Amino acid sequence: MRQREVYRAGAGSGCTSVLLLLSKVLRGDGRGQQAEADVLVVAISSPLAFSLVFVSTTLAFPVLAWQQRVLVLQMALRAEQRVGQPVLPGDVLLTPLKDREQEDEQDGARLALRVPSPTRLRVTCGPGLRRQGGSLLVTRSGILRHRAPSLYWVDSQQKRYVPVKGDHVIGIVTAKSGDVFKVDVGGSEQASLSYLAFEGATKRNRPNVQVGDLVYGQFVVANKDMEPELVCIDSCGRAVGMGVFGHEGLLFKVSLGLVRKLLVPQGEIIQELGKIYPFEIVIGMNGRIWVKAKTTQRTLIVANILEACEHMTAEQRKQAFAKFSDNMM
Amino acid sequence: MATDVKSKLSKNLLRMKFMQRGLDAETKKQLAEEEKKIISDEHWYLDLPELKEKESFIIEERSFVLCEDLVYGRMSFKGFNAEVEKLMITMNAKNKAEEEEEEEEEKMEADISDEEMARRYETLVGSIRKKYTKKRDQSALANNEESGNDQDTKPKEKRSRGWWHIN
Repeated sequence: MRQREVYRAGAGSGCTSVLLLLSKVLRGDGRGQQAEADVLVVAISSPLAFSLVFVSTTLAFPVLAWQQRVLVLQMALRAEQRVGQPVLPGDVLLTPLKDREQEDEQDGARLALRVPSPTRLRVTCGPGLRRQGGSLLVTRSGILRHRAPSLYWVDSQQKRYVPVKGDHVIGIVTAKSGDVFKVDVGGSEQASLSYLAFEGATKRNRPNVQVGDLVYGQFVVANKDMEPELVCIDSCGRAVGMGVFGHEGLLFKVSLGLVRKLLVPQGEIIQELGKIYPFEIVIGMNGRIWVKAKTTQRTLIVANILEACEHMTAEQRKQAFAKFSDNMM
Repeated sequence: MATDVKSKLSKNLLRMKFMQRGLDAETKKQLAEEEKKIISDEHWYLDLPELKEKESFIIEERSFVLCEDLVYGRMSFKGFNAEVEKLMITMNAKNKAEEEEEEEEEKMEADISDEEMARRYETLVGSIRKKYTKKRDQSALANNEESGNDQDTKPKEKRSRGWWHIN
């Protein structure tokens, strides 16, 4: 597969554009690049156009086979129709329409030549989606999620952390070099942490940070091509829980999906754990979790429960917790 | 003889500011044209097609925290670390307060009817009028409204006004 091309017939387009598209497919893009396009992906949004193209291509398939090409017909849907369904990298989602346009489409009053309305709905695409022209391109496999009014993202499972601006992470200080500390955050590159980015730190008054310490910090710079940068203060210069922490305690790593599950507001797992006995927990968005309880045994129990929770259903979890709290009593 | 000398002067010299005072109109025009030509020759521009889409309607957001409304990652339970528990309360209170505000706003939008609005304005008019009336008038107004039974209050007011008041 040398090249993958996506042809799209718009939602409001009539038969003419579909036929044009088909002729384009057969002629090899109309630019004489017949040899280059081995796989053609045709993404069509409206069901009618899709069926038309499907019928005509099945008739034309011998021609395509003779030209040594494969034609993939793909039904590109509007993003709101795919919410809650699995999506794969390479899928194209069309941006949701405004209510008025939706009505138009449902009425079946389709214009052959639709002027794009100047006030389109503003869409925010979260992690796992990328902007591609006027539509959304899926870059991670997972389940498409939506939150009102127009926020879409892909709920995916992964273990490798990619720094994101604004995330709170647990890092391990690996080196002190002049003005900055190097911090391992589990990403592709070590993050830098300035010695001035601690609460109350000045040029004279350096913070007491040693190699091997754990720090809880926030990314201020996290670009694709640049070294990420951490800070341990908020915009007002206060620590608010960030900085060096964790003498004693246990640090372990879990998947990024579990971390998000734990941090959901009023998350059941954490709430139920908190009822059993006193302990402290620090959760980093990079999949690292640090736990400390009164005894080593208790610390280990919390860590084991958290790790086990990843693949349990809510029902199983309730049973496990009931059993566990009986034992503790 | 003098004109010959003048014609021999170089163009660059003639273009200088102090030389232009003595020049006649025709040569001035000629020089200006030449300058224009040089500028237009050296003017570069990008030969690109015009952008089709001027404004993008898709905003990219890379963080899960904003998408899923995740809470702050430091927690403590049953008084293990008092500082962190205090922090938890403040951090969560922030979120809650925002939510409550939103809810209140929604309620406000739905609740206030036209009648209530009118009633509110009535009282508002009254209170503003009070504000602009003078103190003495105000007390007179109050007396009228209460109509008697305020003999106890009158002397008190007098006292409070101070000895320099002629009343």
